[in-house]
Amino acid sequence: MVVTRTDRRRRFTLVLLVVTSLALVSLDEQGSGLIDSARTLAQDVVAPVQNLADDVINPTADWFDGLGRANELQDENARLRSQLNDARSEVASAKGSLARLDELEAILDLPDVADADGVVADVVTQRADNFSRAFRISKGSSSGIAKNMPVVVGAASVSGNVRSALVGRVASVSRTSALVERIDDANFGVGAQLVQGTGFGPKGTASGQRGSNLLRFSVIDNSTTSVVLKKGDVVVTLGSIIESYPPGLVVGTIVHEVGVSGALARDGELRPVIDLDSLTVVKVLKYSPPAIP
Amino acid sequence: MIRRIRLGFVVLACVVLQTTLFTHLRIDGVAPDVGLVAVLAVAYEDGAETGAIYGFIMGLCIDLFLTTPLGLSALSFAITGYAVGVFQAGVVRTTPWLAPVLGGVGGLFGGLVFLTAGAIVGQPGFLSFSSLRIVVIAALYDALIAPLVFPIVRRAARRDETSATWRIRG
Repeated sequence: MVVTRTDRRRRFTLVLLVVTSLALVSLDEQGSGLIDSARTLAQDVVAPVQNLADDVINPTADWFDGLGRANELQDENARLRSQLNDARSEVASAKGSLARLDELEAILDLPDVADADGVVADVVTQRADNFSRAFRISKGSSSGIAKNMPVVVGAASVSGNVRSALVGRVASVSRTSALVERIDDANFGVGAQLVQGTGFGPKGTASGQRGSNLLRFSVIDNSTTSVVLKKGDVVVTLGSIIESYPPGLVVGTIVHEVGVSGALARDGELRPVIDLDSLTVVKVLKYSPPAIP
Repeated sequence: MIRRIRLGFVVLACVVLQTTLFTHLRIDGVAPDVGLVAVLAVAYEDGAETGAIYGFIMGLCIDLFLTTPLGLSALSFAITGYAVGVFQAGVVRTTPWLAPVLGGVGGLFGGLVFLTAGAIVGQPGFLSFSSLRIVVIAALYDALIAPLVFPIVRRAARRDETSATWRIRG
């Protein structure tokens, strides 16, 4: 077999591109400022064209959605009615936990969402690819939004207080728009705590899972043998000083326990309290974690 | 030069379509990779080296708008573009089925490269049945849009022949 000079050059080009790609992946994984700047610049350049396209496409798509889903909506209506009864029991349980959370926060004087300044933004488009869960919002750095800020929506009204639910974090930001990584993205993770019975339950992490709309709550506690995860228990953000999330944001409610092999961990699956596919307006919190004493 | 500008516009169009139109046109929650289909067309038109370079540029531009690591789409698009370019060298004649077949097979190959590379660099859950299902549906969708994308992109990728064209003397 004869390998010509052209073949060698082609292979060299491919190898060079593969090495460059892997170097970029590695740089991005380490959190390179250069790559963040490149993302910001690219989004700034393309944003006007995207906005123009969205202005044309979104109303048309909404119209077709409504038209095409007429029959589907009837079936969905029947299905939702049957789910309503199940949901009512979950909500009743969740309300109890949320009310308890209010009392606990009042006792501990924890800062809540009202203490953080926020920017309200429209959700422009949902995720663009098949392997990440993210959405684009209509405001960016010119409105004071920065990378890693928590994104919330008002979720449930308990005792007259609307509790905010965490829906994601700002993954990248340009001047006029920002990309928000959803809480059910496989790369998302947050310190979380269970609200259970007479007080806060065990601490752990809540993280997204690939191929599922449910999050995974993993208890990290030395005394896991006594932990019982009950359906409807509310999981809230822990608000540790190394994270950019305030404490007490609702992450989701426990759906069921999941068996794990380790003796020091107990897992459950969480359902977000908000339908993340149907978000239209969100609030980006300009929250700064308390300084380390 | 004009050819490069045309191909640059194709990249811009693919980024805008992927991040706007195709977010609404999902089948079972899965969108096609319009950028990858464009790379397949360029690789088929111009060979392995151009396919790899164009795939890298297209993937990199799309990566800038995603939350997956920058370089992952660039890697999979470049390898797929190269592979299709090598395959193209052995094709004797073009059939009407070529675009959908190449779109489907190329989409499947590109998706599998993306998953494998993602798993290697530590992306959680990339090697799973749900990810494989997504890749298969996306490949079928790529096959569906390929007959629309191929003629436009192949025309954009065609080399300018100003110096070698026939002229009619007046």
